[in-house]
Amino acid sequence: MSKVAITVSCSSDDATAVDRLAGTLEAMGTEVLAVHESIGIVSARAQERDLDSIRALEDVSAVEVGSRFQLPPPESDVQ
Amino acid sequence: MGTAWSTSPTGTTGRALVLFEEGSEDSAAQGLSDVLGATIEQTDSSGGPVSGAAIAQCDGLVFSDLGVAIVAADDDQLEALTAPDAAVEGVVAVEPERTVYAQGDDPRDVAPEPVIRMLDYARGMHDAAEALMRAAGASAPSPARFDESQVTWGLQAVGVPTSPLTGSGVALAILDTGIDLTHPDFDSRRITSESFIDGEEIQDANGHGTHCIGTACGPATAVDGPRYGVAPAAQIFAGKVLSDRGSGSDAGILAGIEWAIRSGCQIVSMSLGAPVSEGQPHSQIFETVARRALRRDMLIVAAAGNDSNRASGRVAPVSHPANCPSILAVGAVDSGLAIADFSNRGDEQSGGQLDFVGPGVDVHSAWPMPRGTRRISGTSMACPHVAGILALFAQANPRARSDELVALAFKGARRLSLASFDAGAGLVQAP
Repeated sequence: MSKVAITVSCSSDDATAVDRLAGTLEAMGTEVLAVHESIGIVSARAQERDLDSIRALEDVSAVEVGSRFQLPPPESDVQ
Repeated sequence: MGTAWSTSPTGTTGRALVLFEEGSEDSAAQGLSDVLGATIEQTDSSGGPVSGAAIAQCDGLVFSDLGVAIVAADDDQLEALTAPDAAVEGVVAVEPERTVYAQGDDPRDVAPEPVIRMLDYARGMHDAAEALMRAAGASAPSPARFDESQVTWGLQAVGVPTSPLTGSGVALAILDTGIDLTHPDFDSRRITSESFIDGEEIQDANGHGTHCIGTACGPATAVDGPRYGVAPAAQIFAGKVLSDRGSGSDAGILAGIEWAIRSGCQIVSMSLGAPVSEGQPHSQIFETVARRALRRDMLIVAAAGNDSNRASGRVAPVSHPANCPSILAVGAVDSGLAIADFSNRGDEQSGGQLDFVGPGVDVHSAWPMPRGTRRISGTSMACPHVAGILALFAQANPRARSDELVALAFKGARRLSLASFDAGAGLVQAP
């Protein structure tokens, strides 16, 4: 099963809590891509089957599968 | 967790809202005190926010920056306020104060954070003022015609040519496709930049980012053509969160937001979005991030999205992440000040209200060299107009918090003959 890009919000924007969450995610086998302590966010890639387990973690307030953004082609009149 | 507000169908508090003509706020407090025989407080725009206790317990409170008062008064007293020979000058309209509840939450449990309460309260008070103005039969100004030989129509429409402000001292981040660092209109500007796109530098090979940065921060005198920049002296922070092919992800955008916070930016402009379906809840994560940014005095402004085709009857809701209550959503108007055909609509049921409109049709701004300039349309073009205007407000009010800047922008917006779900507070205006 392929991994999906996820964003995990820490229940606190305290740097220690965010780092702890990142460590917990890595221990679970989640691929941590970035840790944003200032905004309490961890960007990661995880198996879909693990999302509920991640949501249940003590330091987690929300988990969302990442959105993709796509601008119209540069030659478009409306952008 | 929800932060959208809804009104109880029968909920009124027993107090009344009184709308005053602009400029009569100072005499309002004394006039109300004389008629009602009560102590009337008045907010001070140079001081801190009014406390929740004061709002709940006062007999009368004039919101000086909004031109609206809350009063405890009986029916006879309220009638006296609106009589032809009323002892209080400048009263435009009176209506009952409504009780509101957080949508989907038990009111006993939810206590919105103070800074968000003020952001939502500022919106709510403006909505109330808007309703009162309509009830009073106030008419919107007619659209003007624009000569673009010196200044773009968009800058004229938002009042930039007559403003003495430049955005000096204000750090403004634009998260987009980057910027053309070779563009002569930015030769004299210091640009702080960062790319969050793997394998790509800040240099903009798309154009969208350069156009948006031009609108928000372009020079007072362009090398070629009319002036197109709102805040010509703002500090430019260009964050590349969309690739040269125009694509990006939540992860890149969040990284850009954190960078902007750490860089001390006061305003972030994001002309990007992903379509949402009707009634789809906003992202709890982006809402949380936006609240955290607000606590650090950084405002996030985002484009409402271009998924609508109003001529064919299709009107789409405000896109993600602009549909987050703590992110200012910007729709687009044309040079006739009509809503743009493509501009998305606010959906208050899901918290995705639209806050302002900005010039977004046929907008002239910078484009990567050798072309240099280009005219394009979109809520992407409206968003940096609003961001630049907020930078002017920030320059004029250096001690103001983010929610106070928003309240000032709400108060100063030009009301249009458009519904609030299409135009929010109206067309943003330069201080």
